[in-house]
Amino acid sequence: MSSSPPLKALLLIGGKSQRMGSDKAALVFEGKTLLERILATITPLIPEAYLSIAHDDEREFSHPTIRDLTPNPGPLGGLQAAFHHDPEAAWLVLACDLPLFDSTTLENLLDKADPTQKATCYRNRLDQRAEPLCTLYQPAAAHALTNYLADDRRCARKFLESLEPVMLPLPHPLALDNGNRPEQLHELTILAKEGLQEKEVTVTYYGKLSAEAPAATETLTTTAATLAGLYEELRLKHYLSLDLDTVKPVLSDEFVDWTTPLPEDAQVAFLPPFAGG
Amino acid sequence: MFQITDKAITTSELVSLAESPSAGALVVFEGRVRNHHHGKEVTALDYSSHPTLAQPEGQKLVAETLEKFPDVEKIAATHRTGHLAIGEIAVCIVVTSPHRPAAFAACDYLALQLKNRLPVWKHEHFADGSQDWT
Repeated sequence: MSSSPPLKALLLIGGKSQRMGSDKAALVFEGKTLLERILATITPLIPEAYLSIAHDDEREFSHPTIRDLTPNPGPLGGLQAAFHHDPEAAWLVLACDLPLFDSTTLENLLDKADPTQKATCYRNRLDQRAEPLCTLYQPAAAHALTNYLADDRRCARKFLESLEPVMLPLPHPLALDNGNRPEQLHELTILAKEGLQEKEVTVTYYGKLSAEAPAATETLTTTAATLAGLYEELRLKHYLSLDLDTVKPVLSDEFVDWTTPLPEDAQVAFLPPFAGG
Repeated sequence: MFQITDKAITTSELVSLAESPSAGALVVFEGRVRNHHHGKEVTALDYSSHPTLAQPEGQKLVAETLEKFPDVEKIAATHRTGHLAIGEIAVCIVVTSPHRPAAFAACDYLALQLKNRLPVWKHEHFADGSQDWT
């Protein structure tokens, strides 16, 4: 990698997380905040790491920051500001809410990155598509980003796909799993301990969700450990419009918690907000 | 008494279930399908319910209301599912009590609980051809 551009990292720490009701980077997993964990993983390999912050963020940070250039630039605003900060660098863009992100995953990405391509990333373990939560963008991506944003487009994943990135399989499948709410951290804790175990489940959707899912009832194979993990998997897969906190999970015709373990052959139902009367 | 039903609701049947010689007050609430929602003209509604949870949840809400309003003598309530035209009754609540205040308050309370806590969903059909889940 002698001819490679200098490596810098941009951590997407998010704004005040609405879902957690608090700063998601400050969420604690195994005794450390998510931000501390991710910094401890990346700074040995990429010492120059910045936190991506909103245009008007007035909080104080212990790490250098890169501020969005405009208010509400969308999910690609951080990368735009990073290339503005240093257009000659290759930028690793990384979400901070990845509790099981590890140095193997980072080393593998840096080792296999192809500096002649615009980007190198991992395949999402569930849908195999390019995953923007951990991607190395080469300087050549900056121009493409300017054009993409000029077209008023904002989707980080579609932008990444438009670059025709090098896509790698994940060495550790859970490394890029989001954990930005307590139920997901619980899910990841179990998965990390017990591993991914396939089970067949039947899911019935009600109300609005029944119109959004491909069918009102489906039987599928999942590796989710809890009902929260299953819902998040299906929410992403079917583009369901409702967040976990507005949906009620039902297991074997009983209301249960999101943290309830998912048994083999589970009969699950997801209930959107009720609207009687 | 609570019942979830896919048949048209007959209010007089609920009245006869709730009335009592010692009740000086009998309050009836009919929730009917109205022809507008958020400024859009509604042509019909479809109500769907969870097949096994709606009935016990409704019974629970009626029991809870009776407990909360000890002066109430009887409650008869029912919620309809299926396709409803404008003016049809979606929910009917009949409450009796010796004096007026308890019956009114309990009826209002139960109406709100059924709206928020009964696993029932509303699919609205609008005059402009659009539809929406609420």
